[in-house]
Amino acid sequence: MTNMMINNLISQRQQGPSKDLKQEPVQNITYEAKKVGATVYSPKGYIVKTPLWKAPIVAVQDGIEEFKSIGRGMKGDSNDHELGKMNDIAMKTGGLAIASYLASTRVLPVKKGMEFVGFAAFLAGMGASKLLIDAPIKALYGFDNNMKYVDSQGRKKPFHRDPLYVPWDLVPSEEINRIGDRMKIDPMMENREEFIKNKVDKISTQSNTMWMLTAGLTTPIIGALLASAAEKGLNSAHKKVETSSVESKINKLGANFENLDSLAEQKVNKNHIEKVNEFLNQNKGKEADDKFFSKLAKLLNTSDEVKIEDHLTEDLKGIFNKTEINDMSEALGDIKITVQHEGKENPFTLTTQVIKEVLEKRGVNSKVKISESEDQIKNGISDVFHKQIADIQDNDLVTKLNTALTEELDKKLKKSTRVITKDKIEDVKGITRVFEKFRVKHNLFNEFLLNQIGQKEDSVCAREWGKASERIIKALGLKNKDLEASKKSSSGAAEVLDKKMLEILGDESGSKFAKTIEGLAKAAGEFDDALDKFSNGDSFVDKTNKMIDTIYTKTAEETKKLKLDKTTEYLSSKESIAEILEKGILYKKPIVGASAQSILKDNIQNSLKGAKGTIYQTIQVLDMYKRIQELEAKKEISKETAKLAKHAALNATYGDHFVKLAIPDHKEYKKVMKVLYSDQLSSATEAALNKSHPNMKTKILNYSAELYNQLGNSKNKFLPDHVVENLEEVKNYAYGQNALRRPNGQIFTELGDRAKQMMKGDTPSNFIKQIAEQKHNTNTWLRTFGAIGGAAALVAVISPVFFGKMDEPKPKKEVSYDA
Amino acid sequence: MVNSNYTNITGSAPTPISYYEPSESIKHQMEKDHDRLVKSNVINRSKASLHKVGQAFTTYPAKGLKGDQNSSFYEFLAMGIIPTIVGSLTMIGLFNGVNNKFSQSSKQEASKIGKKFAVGVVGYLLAKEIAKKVVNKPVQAATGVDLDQPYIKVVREIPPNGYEQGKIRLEYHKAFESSDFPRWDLFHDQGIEHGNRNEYFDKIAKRNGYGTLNASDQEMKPKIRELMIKAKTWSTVLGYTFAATAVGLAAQTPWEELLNNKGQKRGIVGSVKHIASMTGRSFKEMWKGGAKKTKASGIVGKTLLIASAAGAIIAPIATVAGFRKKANTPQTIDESKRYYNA
Repeated sequence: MTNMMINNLISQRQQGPSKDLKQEPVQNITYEAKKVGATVYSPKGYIVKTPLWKAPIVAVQDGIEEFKSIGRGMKGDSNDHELGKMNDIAMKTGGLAIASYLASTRVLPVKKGMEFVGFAAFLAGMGASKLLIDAPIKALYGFDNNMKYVDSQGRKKPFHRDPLYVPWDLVPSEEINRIGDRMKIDPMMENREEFIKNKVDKISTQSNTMWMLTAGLTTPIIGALLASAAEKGLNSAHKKVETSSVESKINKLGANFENLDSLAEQKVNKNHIEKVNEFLNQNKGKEADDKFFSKLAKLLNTSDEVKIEDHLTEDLKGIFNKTEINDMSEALGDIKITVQHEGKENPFTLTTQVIKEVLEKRGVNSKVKISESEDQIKNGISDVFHKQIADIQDNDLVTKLNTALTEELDKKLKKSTRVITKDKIEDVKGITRVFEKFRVKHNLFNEFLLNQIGQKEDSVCAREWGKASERIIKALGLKNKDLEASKKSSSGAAEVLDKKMLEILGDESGSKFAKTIEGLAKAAGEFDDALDKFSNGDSFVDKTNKMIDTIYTKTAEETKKLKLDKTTEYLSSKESIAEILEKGILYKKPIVGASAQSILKDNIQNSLKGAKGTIYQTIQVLDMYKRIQELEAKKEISKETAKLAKHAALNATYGDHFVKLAIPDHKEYKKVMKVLYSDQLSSATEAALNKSHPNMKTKILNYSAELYNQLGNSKNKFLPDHVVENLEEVKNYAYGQNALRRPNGQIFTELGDRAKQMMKGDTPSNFIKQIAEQKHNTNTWLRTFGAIGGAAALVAVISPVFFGKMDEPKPKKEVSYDA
Repeated sequence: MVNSNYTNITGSAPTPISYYEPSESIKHQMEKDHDRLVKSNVINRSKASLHKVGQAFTTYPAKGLKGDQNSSFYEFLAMGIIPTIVGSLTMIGLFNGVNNKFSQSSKQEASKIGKKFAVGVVGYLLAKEIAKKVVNKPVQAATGVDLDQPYIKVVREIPPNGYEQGKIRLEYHKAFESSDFPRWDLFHDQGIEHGNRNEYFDKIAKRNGYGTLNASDQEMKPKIRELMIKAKTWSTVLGYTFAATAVGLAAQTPWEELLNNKGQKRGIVGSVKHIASMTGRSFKEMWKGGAKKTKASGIVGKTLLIASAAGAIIAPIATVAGFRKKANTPQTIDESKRYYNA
């Protein structure tokens, strides 16, 4: 065996070096090499100098190499260098996988983007943590601690990686001496280059250690700071792109949205129409039941206006209804409902005759052919019935009558069969197209609405709200300690605000007051402008109203042709919620709901009013403080009233007004309201507003007037002018056994209350509390981690100053080595 | 305790330079102290990692900050544990540290995110460790090659100016940590002690169906080298797949319950059960598309989970593939031929 190996070696030597080594032998070989007869090859390695512009290209090239190395590794053919590199690319890919997953769980595009930004920021943090040390080293000692070299095998490595193996032979001696000059090393020193190399090695060992010690703190903190800085940029960039895309879509529709229909026509989803046809064909010849109708209605309505489905179901039943009723009484048969009424001698009776009479009085001829569905007849009758019993105050009785009527109608009304025939299917096909078009239009509108005032943190409204909040904090001069006190509770915030207002008024020259009003008016004005900017010319509300009209009315026209009467009514009716409310209270009957248009318009209007109002309130409250100050000086206001007005201004929610702020004396409430929502601003406020934002004056007065009329107003009893005997009555009316909202008054809270609550907006104290909370959270975070990260970074940056301390060799005595 | 290995060989003061032979005691010590394999068991492995981590936090930075000429790349790599630990704690701290100073509602929201983040950081680190085991353990079971085989390296430092003998320190390495220079010599050394230089390679050859070979080391070394490269590649790839999955799991809502004891103590068994339950529910939630059940999240989540499960099975199989001798493989060395000139 040994012989074999030796012989092999000999034959190899005789053949000379193998052919794949293309290096040229070095001419002037060392004595040692000569002594053992070895062939020495010159190194092929070199120092890598990457200009900045080329860095990204190099990074990509390196990345590709790293990827390739994974493939080689899986085949089992790799070296240490490649295996090490593989970890880098795997870490980056793994990081991207994490970011992709986390992004997929996010809904908002910016949040999705942020997952990737976060990862990139972490990598950047890693780079920065090294740069923190390398930059001062470059500045102090003149060498690049992050230098790379390529070895003879073509592997790229950090030059200063292994202090026990630094390839100094690749660095020309002029360069070494240049570094030495920079480090002010005695130019006449013996073995100067060796000394310089040692010193550089020492510094780089120290810096690498320092890097390891500080990176754990600096990398994540710098990463987090970078990410939060990037988020702001990303947010506004994304918003600009999104808004301009929505804007161009809306602009394409023409000034009066005349192109809306043709656009919808283009974007109709044909697959969906096919799907509906398929569903109908599957059910051909079968009998249509309730399940079929609701399923079909769901299929037909592809928009997110889900309430349409209820109306559509009714209409579809009408379309599929085979039998036509010739006479109401024929359908009804004999009805006689008798309910014993407690406390009254005669029982309450309802007969077919009564129903017919009432119907005729209302102009409905019961003899005329009607092709309505059972439910429509049922509803019609119960409508009459409810009118009959409108004056009954006893809720239990109403419920009893209701049950009796429903039972009776179910018994009497003949069930008509509805078979799904070919003709009916043809009828429905037309409907599919109309609703598909409605979906396209509705979605477009929704996109516009979401972009502008959507209940999401990146809508224009939300973002402007954030900016306005900042401005308000600044205008009011709220300091960090104020925010600290405000963030705990709304009452804390109210206290801070109260103190601040008095402080502003305490300035006798009045300049502080004027300046604050100007600042607040600027915040409010810019908020308003930002929202109306998009709808160039029109106000935002006008623009949306116009668009809603176009979309809904056009669709309603088409549904009318298709005899979808209930749906048409729901889509087109412009009856306002107030009108509907009135009816609801009048008839004591649950109203199916307001029309789609009015709900949508009301919601938009009120949420805008609420948002604007919350900001206006800051001006309005400060103005009220001023007026109270003036009234107090003239002794025209009692201490009680002033106190209550201030309390109401800062803290009162809609609910508090509903129970008249729980003030036993109702005349007092009236006084408070007069002070709170006065129809005049103080002269100082007026002067300040006239100077800076003249139109803000009208806006605030209008807002005040509206709140004065609306708050606590639910019919006359709740007008501020109305004097209630005692508080119990109010509370009873609102929450008691016979309260309006029970059982028929749901509509009252659902629509009326909600609308008013939205309009009132947030109370100033809660508004400030919330801003304070956010600001305080950010500040605390920044203070804590900014300090830790800053300290670590400082250590990293300063420590190189103390690196590389070495005693310069003293001139030596001559030493004899051959002892 | 940590510095116990950082001893001067002569015991007391270092010997001044001399040009004579080292003393007998030094020569004796030097002969005894050489790189050697240690038994690969739990005690030794934990001893090795404790030693490495302990030194990384004490001796190595002390040497590094002084710019000691004996600071090595091994020490630099070992110190990598510092940013890993400090960084992980900082990351957890970034999302949890100041939550107590927030108001109640913000605190609750922030702590939900914070908990998930903390679980994510810990999960990330654990996942990478688990991935190594998932590859190396089956490989050991299938081939008998323990890729985690530890050895002690005796480092003789360059003496400072004016001294004869530098310090001697111990480093714990793994015999197969370098694919360019696996420490074959240590296996030979171990064999020599038992009278058979190729003892280890004979064992591996036999175990994997090669039977008795004349030069088992020649035949098995390239095979083992291939095995270790494959194993390292797969465990790296698998490590980050697992890590991504772990972070994904940590992002699920069940982790919001973490440490929500409300005053009652769970005990160790209870805590383990609770963590197991949260993990189980997180798997389910991730599979179904996260808390919001979005389509994209379902797809990416399933992909990660499937990739991890598939990877855990494929990685060890792919690593071992081709290592065992296949039936009917022609002999690499034709023993009838002579390889030298007679």
